[in-house]
Amino acid sequence: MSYRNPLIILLSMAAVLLFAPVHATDPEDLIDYRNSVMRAIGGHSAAAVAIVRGQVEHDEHLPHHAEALVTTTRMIAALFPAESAEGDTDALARIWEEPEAFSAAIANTEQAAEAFLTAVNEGGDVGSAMRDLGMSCRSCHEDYRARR
Amino acid sequence: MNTQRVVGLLALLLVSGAQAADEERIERGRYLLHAGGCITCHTVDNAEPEDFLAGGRALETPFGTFYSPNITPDPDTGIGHWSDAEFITAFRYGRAPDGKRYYPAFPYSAYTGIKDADLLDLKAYLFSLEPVDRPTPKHELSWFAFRIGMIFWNWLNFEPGVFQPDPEQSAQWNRGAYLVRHLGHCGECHTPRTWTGGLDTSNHLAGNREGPGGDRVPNITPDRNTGIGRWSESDIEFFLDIGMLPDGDFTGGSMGPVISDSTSHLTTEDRRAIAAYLRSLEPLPSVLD
Repeated sequence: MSYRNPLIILLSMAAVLLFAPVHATDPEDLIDYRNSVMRAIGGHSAAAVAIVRGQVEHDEHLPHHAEALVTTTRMIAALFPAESAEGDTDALARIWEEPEAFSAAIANTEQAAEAFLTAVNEGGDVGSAMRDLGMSCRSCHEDYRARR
Repeated sequence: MNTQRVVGLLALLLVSGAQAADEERIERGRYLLHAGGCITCHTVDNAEPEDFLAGGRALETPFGTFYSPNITPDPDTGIGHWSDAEFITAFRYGRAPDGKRYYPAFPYSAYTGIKDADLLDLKAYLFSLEPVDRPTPKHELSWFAFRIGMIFWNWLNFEPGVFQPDPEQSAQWNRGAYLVRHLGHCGECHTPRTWTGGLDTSNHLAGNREGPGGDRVPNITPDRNTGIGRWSESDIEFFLDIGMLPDGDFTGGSMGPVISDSTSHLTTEDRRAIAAYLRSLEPLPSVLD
């Protein structure tokens, strides 16, 4: 078998393409991804609120929404790489100008989500834990997101 | 018991009764401070406790930059020398104790409707605070904004008068109307302005492209497509409590401080009254579209 076999050459080229290091992600994709995760958080928040406020009777779903809120709020810290600052986004420049304050705000939300899950699972004051979580979301949007 | 003792006891009862009445009044005033949204403009951003209501916040408008005054009871730099009548005149007629006309950055065209009793409670609360000695920076205004021009502006855009309840409507609706139109002065941001800077009353609460800091402020009439027509009364009440929209998104920008300084401090009953009033409005298409 010759090493010049076109099939082998083609296959090795395909292998190179397949395993080549991933190129830098398009900032638009980063922004879209951020918006998707934020919508997921919003969806679980709205669903949890509807249950806690007694608008729907799906109490058995509540622990799952609370779990999901813990999981998804832990993703927030990774959603704001520097290259996603420019583009079609409502994220304000302050995020990258004051990274420490921004990280503290995210940590606050993560903790509020954990406290909400604990309240749901251990029969705490679910209403006020939900309110605290909401307040942490709002305070971040107030400081770091343009109004829509 | 001798007469002296009886008199002493009576006097003591009277004094403590008066004190209790004062405290109630201050408490009502504190609530009105939140309902009136006073804190947001009269306190600087990232405030320390000593900055509370001491003014100095910059309010950028198409007419220039206004600086909110110190409303602590400091006699020189605050409102410590104001009489009850002067306090009422400021809100009802937009006139300072020295007779000067305010610029409508102080929303007296909304505050004009606040009842005297509420104004005096608010004053009692403000006068119970520690005075802060802090002069207010001078406004930096465009050439066309001058005080004498306010005579013309008032003639065009201002109708003084206390809120008149509508007997055809429920008590809840009237409470909501009082809160939205007067104390809460929602229209100052949610209603667009005409070229003279007055509110465009044909688009009452239908949104505003030029909100504070250039914010686009949404339509809050019950239009189903571009307003809040799909929001239930409970959605609105909850939004005013913590700032969550029905889809789980959270409000940002200039509405944030309105929630934290004002509406989250109101009773659920008052937030429901606001919701009931907003839902009763004529649905208008958003001016943002």
